[in-house]
Amino acid sequence: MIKKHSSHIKYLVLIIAFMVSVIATSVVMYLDLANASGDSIARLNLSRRVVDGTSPGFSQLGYVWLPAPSLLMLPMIWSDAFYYSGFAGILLSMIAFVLAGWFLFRIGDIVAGPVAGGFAALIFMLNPNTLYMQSTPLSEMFYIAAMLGALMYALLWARYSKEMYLVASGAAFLFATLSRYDGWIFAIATVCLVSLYLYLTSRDFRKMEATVILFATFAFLGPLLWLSWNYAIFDNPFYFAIGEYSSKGQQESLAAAGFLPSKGDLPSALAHVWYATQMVSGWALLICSVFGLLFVLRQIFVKKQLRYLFVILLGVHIAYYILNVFSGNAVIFVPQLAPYLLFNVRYALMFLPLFALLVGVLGARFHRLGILMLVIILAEYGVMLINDNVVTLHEAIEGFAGAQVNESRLQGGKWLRGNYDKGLILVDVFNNDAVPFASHVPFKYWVHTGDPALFGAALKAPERVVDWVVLREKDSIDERFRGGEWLADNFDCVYSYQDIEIYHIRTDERSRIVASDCKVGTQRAGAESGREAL
Amino acid sequence: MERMVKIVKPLISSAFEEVFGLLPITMRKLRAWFFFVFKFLDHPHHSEARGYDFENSEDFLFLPEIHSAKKHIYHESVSVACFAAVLFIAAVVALHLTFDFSTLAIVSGAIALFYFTFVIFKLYVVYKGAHYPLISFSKEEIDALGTDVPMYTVFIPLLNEAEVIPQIAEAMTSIDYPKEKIEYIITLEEYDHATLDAIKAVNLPDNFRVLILPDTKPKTKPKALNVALSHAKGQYVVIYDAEIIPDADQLKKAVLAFRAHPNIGALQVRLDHYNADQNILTKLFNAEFAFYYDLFLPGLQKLGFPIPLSGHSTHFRMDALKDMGAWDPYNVTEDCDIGMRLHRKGYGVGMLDSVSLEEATSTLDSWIPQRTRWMKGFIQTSIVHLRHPFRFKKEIGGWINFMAFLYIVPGTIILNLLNFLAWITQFVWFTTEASFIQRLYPPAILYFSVFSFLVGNFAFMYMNLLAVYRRKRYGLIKYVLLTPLYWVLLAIATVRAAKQMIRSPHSWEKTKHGSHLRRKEASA
Repeated sequence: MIKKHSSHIKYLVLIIAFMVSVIATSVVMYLDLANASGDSIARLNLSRRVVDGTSPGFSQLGYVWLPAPSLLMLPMIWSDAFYYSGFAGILLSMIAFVLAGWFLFRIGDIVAGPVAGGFAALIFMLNPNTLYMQSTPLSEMFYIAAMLGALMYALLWARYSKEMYLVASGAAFLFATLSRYDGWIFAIATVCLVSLYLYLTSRDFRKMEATVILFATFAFLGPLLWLSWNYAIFDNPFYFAIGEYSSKGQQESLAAAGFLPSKGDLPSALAHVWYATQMVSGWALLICSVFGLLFVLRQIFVKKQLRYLFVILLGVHIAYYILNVFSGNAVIFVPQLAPYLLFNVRYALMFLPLFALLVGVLGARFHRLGILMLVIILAEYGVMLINDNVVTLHEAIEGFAGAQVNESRLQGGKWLRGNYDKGLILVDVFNNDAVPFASHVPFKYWVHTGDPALFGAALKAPERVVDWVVLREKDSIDERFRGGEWLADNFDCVYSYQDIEIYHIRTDERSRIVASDCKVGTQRAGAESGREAL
Repeated sequence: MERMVKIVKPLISSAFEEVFGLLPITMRKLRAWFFFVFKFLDHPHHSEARGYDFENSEDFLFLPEIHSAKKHIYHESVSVACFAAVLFIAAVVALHLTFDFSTLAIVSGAIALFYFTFVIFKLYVVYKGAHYPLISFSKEEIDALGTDVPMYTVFIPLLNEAEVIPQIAEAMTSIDYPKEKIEYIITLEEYDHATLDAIKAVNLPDNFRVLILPDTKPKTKPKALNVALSHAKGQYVVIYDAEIIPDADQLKKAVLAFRAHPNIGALQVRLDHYNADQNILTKLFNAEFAFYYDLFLPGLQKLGFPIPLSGHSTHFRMDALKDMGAWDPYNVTEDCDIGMRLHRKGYGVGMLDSVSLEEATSTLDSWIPQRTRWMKGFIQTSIVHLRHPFRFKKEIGGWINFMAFLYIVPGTIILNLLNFLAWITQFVWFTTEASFIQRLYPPAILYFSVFSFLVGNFAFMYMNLLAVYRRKRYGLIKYVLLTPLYWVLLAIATVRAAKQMIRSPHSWEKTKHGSHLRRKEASA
């Protein structure tokens, strides 16, 4: 009977997941919000540069972001339509969303029956922040799906003792650990839990050792490959942690600007993570989760039902982010605390599966309470939508790296779209991803850090290599050319908007319109002729 | 359509003859020239005219010579090798001219492609094999068999095995099969007095016979089996080597399996080692066997691919064995060869859920020669069966099975050599960053090669890990992580085999058995 119910609910979950995904994506794309955040564009660019550039290839994947999402975008990213619309990445997120809903249902089903699975899946899938994130090319949804897949198979192994489930879990971990660094910690935690589970159930140390080796060999393959990649390309297996554009490098620059308020301050770190969680999950879900947690702890410690340990395991993500914010390896800004900005609040999306499962298993035990909780939580989701309170969307638009901050890059890119004719363009692509993206000029015409030799040559003598230079205040090109002064001998400033300036090589045969508000003295050379040409 | 063909075909051929009739050369000459160049298309070979010669007491080769490894350089082999080489060179030139790829890049690309497809092939086979049930029977079914069983012949080919005679005697007499329905034929070389004395010392029952082999060449195990074949009375035949300890009910299971599956010509059982824990080499050897017999061979069976059988614990129907012309006395892996011939003759091979325990070679002194012989035999088997590749393709069941053969037999040799080459190349690259290596691998091929190599090596190692875990050999698991070291040994043995193929293709490096007994004695 339960099996029959389970089979009905699982199809229902799949249908709802698919429909909700399509509707949400359609709305987000219609409102042109899919690529609002700078990271969305950077994700797309990272993948695109593998197939398009002055030196295309996998080395473009770099060392900062883990490569699985970029690699899986490759079959579609070569298409201009899929690239510029962001659909190459969005489709990946949509598939991940449906899978995540499915995996969450199965986890709930295995732990406490199909009702728990159904509740958990609905609570996760209908959260407005989940819906927005699954409509973007960002890697969060991909990671959540891979991580939940790994957890589901580990749980199946615990239930049926079939080693093939552990192998499948290891395979899912390959994707999880190659999509976000959270996956590395989660893999370690899962290996520990598998060991603990075996210890508690069999006390056979040889089997425990063998099982851990079988599982961990696959689960840690992703990190091993990434370390090897860093070693092969950058001569240091830990380059992803210490490189110029690594998280550490970014945190250092943020710290220099006084933007790391939580570093070394545990209450502040807790407060940042708490506010982010509350904004992403909503109060109703958080409160219900507390009751769910109490119920789950009772199942583990009083009823000795060890499968509930696999639900608690998801809490590793909370600990991971608290520790990361505390240690300064990650940064979260919330509007309630200084510097009163929105940044990386979306990390709290990783906690949603845990909360959804906690409420799900509680709801499965107390059906009426479960339905009541579900109604309240969904109602709060509705209020979030009506009040335009989807924090991940706000982060994408108004956040520290959101569309408004990207405005100058977008405008610069759009200007190039209408004015670029030929030649190479020099740009520091780090933090300026929106310029090439908005310009629709293929990457093969861009000289950037992805081709260090050409980039270095262009920095030395730009007039010999490029026809165009894009610089933004305080980026490496700006610093190299001292705000454009060095360019003035050979280049005209042709466009300026906020902190962005675009220069074009001076040609005899052609006069150019020189932007009136360029900060450097190119007006001296070309303003008059430009006006005359007008 | 058929009617059309019937009408048109004679018209075309007569027109063809008319045209060539005008030329100074005759059709016969043209045909002769064609088959001189493309000799591998010309079959049947003249040696096949007489069929199987079971009366041959010179070298006990019953097969036509073209199906044997007696001679390796046939016109057919040269012709097919030249044809393949020309085809490859043409492909290289075409790619070079069309895409302006360098020759070295094309070669390294081809190697990477081979490696990649080999990995996919093996993963697919294992995926199929992981859930494929072996042929098994319940205790009730085995008990119900009673004494209504056919005559069974057990071949025990021995050479210098005095040490393990008590063990094999105990193992054989423990087999659960009616005494009057089983005969044991022990073969011995005429000079092997020590083993003969050891046999006399253990007082074997009446149904054991010792057969002294005639002093003729080649002095190989398959020749011994062919000699014994004419003395066998059994409806079914099985080979047990000197150190084997089979499951006691294995013969009864085999009888049930042969009865239940009339299309099956041979049954392969799972092999395991009783000294797997002896040292690191035996542990890795055991892991390899766990993969091979628990995952790989069941997968091959499930997919209907030809199966390279093992040299012992393989059960045959006597009529199928004779229908194939028995063993090739010149092939040093007669087991692999006979597996291919079974398939060519249309017999199926079943994987029986029964275990035979054997001794894992525990020292490099014995492991390397044994593995060299196996690899040499794989080279021989490849040469023999590819003499007429199109005919072989037809007989083995089409292009898919033909490709499977290429991966299973010659592919294994090539992979071992390529591994060796890849490791050396990588070592040189990482230590010297030599530019000539960089030229071998343009970016796209470099990515493909590295991906194939990494994924392949991990997949092969992980499959061993999984197989050992499934066998519940938990203590061995951590050692399986050292499998890449074992591959180095495999590569060394393969290089040695290639050298031996030139110098002494028929030499049989006898595996020394009984080291586990000496170890037991020493520890006692």
